Amino acid sequence: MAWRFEHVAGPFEGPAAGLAWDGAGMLFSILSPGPRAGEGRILRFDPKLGETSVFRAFTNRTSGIAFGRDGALYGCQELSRRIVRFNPDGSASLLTPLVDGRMHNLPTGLALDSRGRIWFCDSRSPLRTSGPLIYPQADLESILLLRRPREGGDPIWVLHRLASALDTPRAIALSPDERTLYVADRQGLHAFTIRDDALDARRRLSERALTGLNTLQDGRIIACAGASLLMLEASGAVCETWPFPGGDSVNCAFGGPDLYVTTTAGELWRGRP
Amino acid sequence: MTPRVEIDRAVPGLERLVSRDAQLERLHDGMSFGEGPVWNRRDGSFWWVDIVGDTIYRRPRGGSAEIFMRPSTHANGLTFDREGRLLVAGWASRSVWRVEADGKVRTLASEFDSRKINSPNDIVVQSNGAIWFTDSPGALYNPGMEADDLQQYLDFQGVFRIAPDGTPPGNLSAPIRDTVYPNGLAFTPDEKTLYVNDSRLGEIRAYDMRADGTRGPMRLFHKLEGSEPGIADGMKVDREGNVYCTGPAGVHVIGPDGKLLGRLLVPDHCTNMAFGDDDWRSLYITTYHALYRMRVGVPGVEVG
Repeated sequence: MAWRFEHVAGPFEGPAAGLAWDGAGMLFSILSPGPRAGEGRILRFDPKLGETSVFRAFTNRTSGIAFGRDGALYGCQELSRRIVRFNPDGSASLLTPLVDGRMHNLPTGLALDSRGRIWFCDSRSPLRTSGPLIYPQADLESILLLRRPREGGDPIWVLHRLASALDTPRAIALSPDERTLYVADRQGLHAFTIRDDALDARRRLSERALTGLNTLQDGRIIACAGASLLMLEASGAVCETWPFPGGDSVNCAFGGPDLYVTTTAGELWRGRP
Repeated sequence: MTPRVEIDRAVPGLERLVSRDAQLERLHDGMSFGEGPVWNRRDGSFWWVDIVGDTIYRRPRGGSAEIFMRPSTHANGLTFDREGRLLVAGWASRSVWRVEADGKVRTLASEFDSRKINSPNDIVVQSNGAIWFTDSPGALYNPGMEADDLQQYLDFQGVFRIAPDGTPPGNLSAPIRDTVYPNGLAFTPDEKTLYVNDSRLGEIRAYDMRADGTRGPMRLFHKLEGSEPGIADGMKVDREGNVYCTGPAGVHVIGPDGKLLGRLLVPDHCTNMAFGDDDWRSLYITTYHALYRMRVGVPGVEVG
């Protein structure tokens, strides 16, 4: 397979990060470094019109984003150290940030499964987070799971720490059968077998430092590796490498047949097969 | 133990305001985020909040702290109006509200241009009854003290004025919109100038006031000094126009000309202060965890 990449939007005022396809347009997050509280936006690229509009402003460095089966967009709001639900009516709600009674660190990437559970990676960070420094960050770099004890309308979420001792985990993805969780950190690509609401021991599949993960229906993985995109087998073996002309890639996601890529330069690119 | 107040960067003349022998008396502790201090002139009680602890405290004259309200919408700034009613910068409620004489709560401001305001931070009342409050977005972003709806709708973080006449929402205006994180605010004794500090910019701004409630151009009044922990947060003015403002290391005392007179080094992270006691010559100081009191030489501007 080969891709023809083209620039479709940006650059915007900060790095581009997370991606989420809403069925007709591609949402992507911008991590504005501006001085104002709450900076950062989620933008929406409409491929039919070729135009970009603001989906949500004041996102306080929301990075990873993903739609739930409930139709709402969920995001990793890094500077507020929480997962946020961007409600369809324009409001935003908090999901519990407490694990074992303490606040977690800065979430970066998340993946939602068919049961509505939210798997996300969480790292220590030197970034200045919002508000008074009364909740010191824990010396933990983790995979966390948010779930509802009861299905349905119960808004109560509980948060579990499933794995730690990672090294700045940045990207996370589920296998199509939702039995494997892939996590990329600075040491490489790791796979965890999912067992109910827990993870079995980690296997390191690759030593490549990756920043974006996207799984295909056949089980293979597309990953961002700077100025290259990689296709990996489920075993971690690299089967294809594609040069990416847009500079340093951050994340990738499919919108229909097209592969969209965000970049550190704050741009959105599109690859067509 | 009652420690002596440590002072640094003092210039001649500070001694008249703060004695080198001043003692710092701890009145209460055990909080997560003390704030909102205010003296009630009518009964000699002292009031403050624990934002994270979701509580408004009241300390009767000669007594010890008691809970006035819990939960409190993570209330932040408090003051009293000319009728002695408690006014609250409601933070997580995203509104300003008043406690009526019968104890009922009445919302005074919650929307501007049909959009929710951010999260009211601190509040002051003019002698004509106009209420001014800062509308920083802390409850939308700060962990541990969140509003139910975390979305910011306004495209500015400014200072609002509730006119003394009229009804909501028409009596709400936004005279100041150029601040980044407006926090403490206080009038000069003659009410001709409003000071607003900005936590993000680390500075105090001055706005000359017009009789109709509008304001003149912004001018920089003072840039806070120091690299220690501490930010522009609470701010009050004494009867001679000296400004007391939290900042790096504690409370900064600034002359009416905008020059630093000295810094009061307060243990723990200082959040706000208020003049009180019958002679208005006690400076009550809130920190994250405690409430302190010290004596000063010049009385503060009266409240209520």
